[in-house]
Amino acid sequence: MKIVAPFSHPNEVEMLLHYGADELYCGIHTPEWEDCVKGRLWMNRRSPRGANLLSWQALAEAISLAHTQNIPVFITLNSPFYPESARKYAVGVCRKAVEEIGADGLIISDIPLLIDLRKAGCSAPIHLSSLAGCINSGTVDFYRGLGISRIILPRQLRPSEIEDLVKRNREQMDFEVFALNDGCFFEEGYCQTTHALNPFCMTDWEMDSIPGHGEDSNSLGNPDLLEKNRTDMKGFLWFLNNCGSSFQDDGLPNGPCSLCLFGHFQDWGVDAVKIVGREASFYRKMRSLQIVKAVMDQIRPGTDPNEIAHYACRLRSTPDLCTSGLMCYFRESDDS
Amino acid sequence: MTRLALHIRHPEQIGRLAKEKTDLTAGGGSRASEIGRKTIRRILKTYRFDRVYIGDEFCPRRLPGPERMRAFREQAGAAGLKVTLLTPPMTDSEIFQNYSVFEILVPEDEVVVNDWGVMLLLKDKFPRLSLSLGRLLNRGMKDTRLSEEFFQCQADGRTLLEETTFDGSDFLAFAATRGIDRLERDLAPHSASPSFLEGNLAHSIYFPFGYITTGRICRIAEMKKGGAPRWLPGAPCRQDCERTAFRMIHESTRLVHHQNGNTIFYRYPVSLLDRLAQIADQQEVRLVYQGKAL
Repeated sequence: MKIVAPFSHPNEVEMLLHYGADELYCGIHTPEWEDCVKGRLWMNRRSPRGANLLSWQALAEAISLAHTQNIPVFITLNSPFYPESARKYAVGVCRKAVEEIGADGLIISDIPLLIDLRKAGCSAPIHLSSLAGCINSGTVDFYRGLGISRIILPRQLRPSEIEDLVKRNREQMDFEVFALNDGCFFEEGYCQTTHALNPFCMTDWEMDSIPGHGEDSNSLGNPDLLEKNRTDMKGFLWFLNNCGSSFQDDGLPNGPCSLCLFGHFQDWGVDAVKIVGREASFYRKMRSLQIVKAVMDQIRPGTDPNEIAHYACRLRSTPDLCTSGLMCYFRESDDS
Repeated sequence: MTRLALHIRHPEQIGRLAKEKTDLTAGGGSRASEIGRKTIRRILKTYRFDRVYIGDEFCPRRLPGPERMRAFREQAGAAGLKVTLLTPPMTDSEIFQNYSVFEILVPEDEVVVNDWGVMLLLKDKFPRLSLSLGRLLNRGMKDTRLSEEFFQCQADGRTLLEETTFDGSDFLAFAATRGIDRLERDLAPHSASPSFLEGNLAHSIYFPFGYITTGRICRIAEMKKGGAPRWLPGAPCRQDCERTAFRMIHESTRLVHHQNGNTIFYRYPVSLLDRLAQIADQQEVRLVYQGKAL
């Protein structure tokens, strides 16, 4: 399995290569995009500043450095949707990134952009962003027909569902799953809001049950129950938000994680694990890669996946967070 | 000519549709909500109602089982109504669990797909069913926190943010070549002049709610759950969403929101209902009323 790691500045690339990233990905945000949409839309799913490279020169520098060690770089244009005028520009960006600057491929979720890229003759490898929400074999076939070579699975799957999907389709498709950082309460691909106004899921709504909706004497509208739900939800959101962007005592990052499943991922045929967090600090990116690499290095032919899981949990050294189950990207149900 | 469809949850609702239509718009509230109800009443009165929507766009646990599906078919047939089955995104196992529901459908029925895999399956195994692409496949910006001032300051911003996947001519051609007959959509909260009435595919517009966000983790299903594991995607539930929904308000948005099951909706303000009425008067669309189903 490959480790896919993010960067948002060329000066992070050397560190990522040093600590063992097998593939890199980044977003870009160009001045021409600003002219095109006048600040109303982001060029990809993350904030223009802090999460993206801001010039072609920076991209060229990063790619050139990565290529000295034969590490491929993928460009993410993973907005769920691009209006037509913006899409025309996005196609140009993709072609320039691949054909002139030397990027090795693209990460995309928007079907119209995918169609336009193929029409424009772009033959670069395209990985399907998790925002496309691929959760079944038919959708794998659908996107294979559109020339997708790897599918990044969405967050809201259970381990047994990942196993089933990957095992059924691994001969025809490569799969990537999330390894570390940044949860999401809703399914990101179906969320029609913008993080530019802060994550919508963090809204602390005032809620009351709707009269006449048929509630019974055990109504969920009970104020105590509602308050408990509100508190529970805040607690879960804290985990999704990288445990309040915190770190363990030894500096390893807390937050959504699938490290203890790596042994299973390997057995099921997962091709790559992704570290999330283009917008994260240099330090968080470095420590994220270190912990992922440490677990990955334990995987050898014949290793019991449970041994990998124990190793990952020991490395985590936050048993309270791990046993809560809420820090896991992929959680299983009792009925599975 | 514009037609009306009603999204219902129970087969027995078919027998009392006239009453249901009245119930849907009853109730107290602010002056604005009373004006909104008047517009809804006018729409419900004006257009001929000839179809029921059943099933769910967001959660596989809200699909009817085979028995209920047969009852829907039987009662709709007896009442001379056509049937549209809404389907959500599904894993392979969820598709397998619900496959028998598709087998009960007859060729004149329609299925709304919100998942490309489900679309391929139906084209392959049930080629005579009519297919419509659902709202989840129509990506765009519907953030209700964007203020009216934001749009007033930036005239062309509204046009940019009104466009959605289903507006692109290349996408429409792509959908048509895959045997899609219709597109399902709602009106964006900031919508002033939606341009979706062009093209060869038919359009359905939902009201009086638009959807904003959804996912496989359900806040409602969590409400009475104790102990671990919590907040699981696709977890088993007691279907409390059938009995309870929530009205939600927050200072970041002027619109009233509803949480129903795993999905958050915004209620159309009066201006949007007026816009809807205008579209329905001017163009041939299908209006899908979801007041009761949510």
